[in-house]
Amino acid sequence: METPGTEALVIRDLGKRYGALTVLSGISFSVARGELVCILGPSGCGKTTILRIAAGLIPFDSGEALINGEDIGKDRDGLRNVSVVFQEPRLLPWRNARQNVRLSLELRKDSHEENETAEVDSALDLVGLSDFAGAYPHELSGGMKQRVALARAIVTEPEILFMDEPLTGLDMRNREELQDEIVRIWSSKKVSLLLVTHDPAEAIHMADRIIVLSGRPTRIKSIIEVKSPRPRPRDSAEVRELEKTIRGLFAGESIGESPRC
Amino acid sequence: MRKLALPALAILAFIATWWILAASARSGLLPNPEQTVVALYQRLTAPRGFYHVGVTVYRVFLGTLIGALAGIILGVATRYSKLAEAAVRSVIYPLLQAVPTICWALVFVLWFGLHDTTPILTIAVAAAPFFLINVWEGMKELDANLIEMASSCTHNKGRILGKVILPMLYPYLFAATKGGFSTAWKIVVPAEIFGAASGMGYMLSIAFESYRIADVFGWTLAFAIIIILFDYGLFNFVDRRYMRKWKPRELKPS
Repeated sequence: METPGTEALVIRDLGKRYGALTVLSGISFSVARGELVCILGPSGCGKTTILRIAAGLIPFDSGEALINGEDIGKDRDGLRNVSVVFQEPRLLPWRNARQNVRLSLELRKDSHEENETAEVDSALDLVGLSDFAGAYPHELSGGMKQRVALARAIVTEPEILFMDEPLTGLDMRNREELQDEIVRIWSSKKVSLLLVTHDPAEAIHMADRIIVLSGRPTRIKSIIEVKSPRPRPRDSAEVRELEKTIRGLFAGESIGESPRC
Repeated sequence: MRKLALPALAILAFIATWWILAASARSGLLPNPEQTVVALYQRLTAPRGFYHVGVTVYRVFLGTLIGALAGIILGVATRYSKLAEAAVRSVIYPLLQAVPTICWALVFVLWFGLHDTTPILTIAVAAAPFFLINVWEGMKELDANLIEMASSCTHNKGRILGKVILPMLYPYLFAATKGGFSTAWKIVVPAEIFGAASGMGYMLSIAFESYRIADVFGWTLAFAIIIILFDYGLFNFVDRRYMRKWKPRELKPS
């Protein structure tokens, strides 16, 4: 099955309804192996719904969702190697940072090997929290908690990482720092990454491709490739040009201002 | 020091009042504190004196444990099965709540006679509702975000239950344990009076039937001391030492 050009994630003609309300229909896109794709859209546009479906967290009504060519609906054991980072860190308050990272290994299998401690420590090291391994969530700042959540997601060496507005709750400085850090981890781990955001600047800074969604009814407005090499400057003619293009797509709609989708 | 001074004063006032009442009554119906303590001491140092204390403690613990297991299993089941939820809601919990514990005790005497099983099951039936209602309520208050996080790692419900859900219930289990034990200590007295041939409750009924008033007061004092030590000592210690970080306010996702 390992053929060059195989897509890590394929979404084909996806549809989702809540009762009489159609939230998604005819959504198709893919994420190649090792690619970083951002889903960008206004509040309430269903971008989180797409991510939850792709991560296997909620069912869908029509279309197809394939991970490594396999239907995500068929895998009920959770052996499929994907990880999710949510908008909130979602750490267990009674576990310290190291134990929170370890949880993701513990949940995935019954038995545990000795070398797991090394895996956990190296994940914490990768997010720069080696010195805080013994700290409990209430002792950590918002940015640090989200780093623990990031370490918890990568400790299992996933093939695909899903991130649902992971930086929305953070201040500007933390956000920019973590954007660079996520890009660094993504490229060192050679993982495929699908990240949902409402912030055009974030998408432009991080993504290989940006999938731009419309408000309801949700359609894909445009798929924009970002070709500039990394590390990318935060402010350049190219960035401004892309941002103008994206804002142009949302003429009349609000994008990037609302805090959440 | 001041923190201890007022409680000490209150206790001294209680003992003094008791003493004055006993002295003014001048009848055998109200022994004074000294007579009560002496009677208790004599009962305890008599052959098999401490055996009766031990057997009662054993019944309280085993009965509460059985009640806890039953209550927790039923409470957890409400989350996973609609049928279990309906059964708990419309039959099991109302039955446990509505039937007076003493009725259970009498039924168990008919079934098991004067055997250990009778007081132990009576205590279990009395303690179970505390665990059931707390776990049931706790299951409704679970943080859906944390459970979704866990479900993104595995579809194995058992692992999610063990690693995420049960630990989230600790504050509820702590409240249930406290309520369950406190009821167990109260119900063990009638349970042993009706349904046992040993234990502190049985000794109390013997003293009562033979009209040894000082002994009745002595065993009552023994119950009071054990329950106070249990409630104030053990539970406060556990609460201060271990339960701090489980307080519900900190169970919000962070």
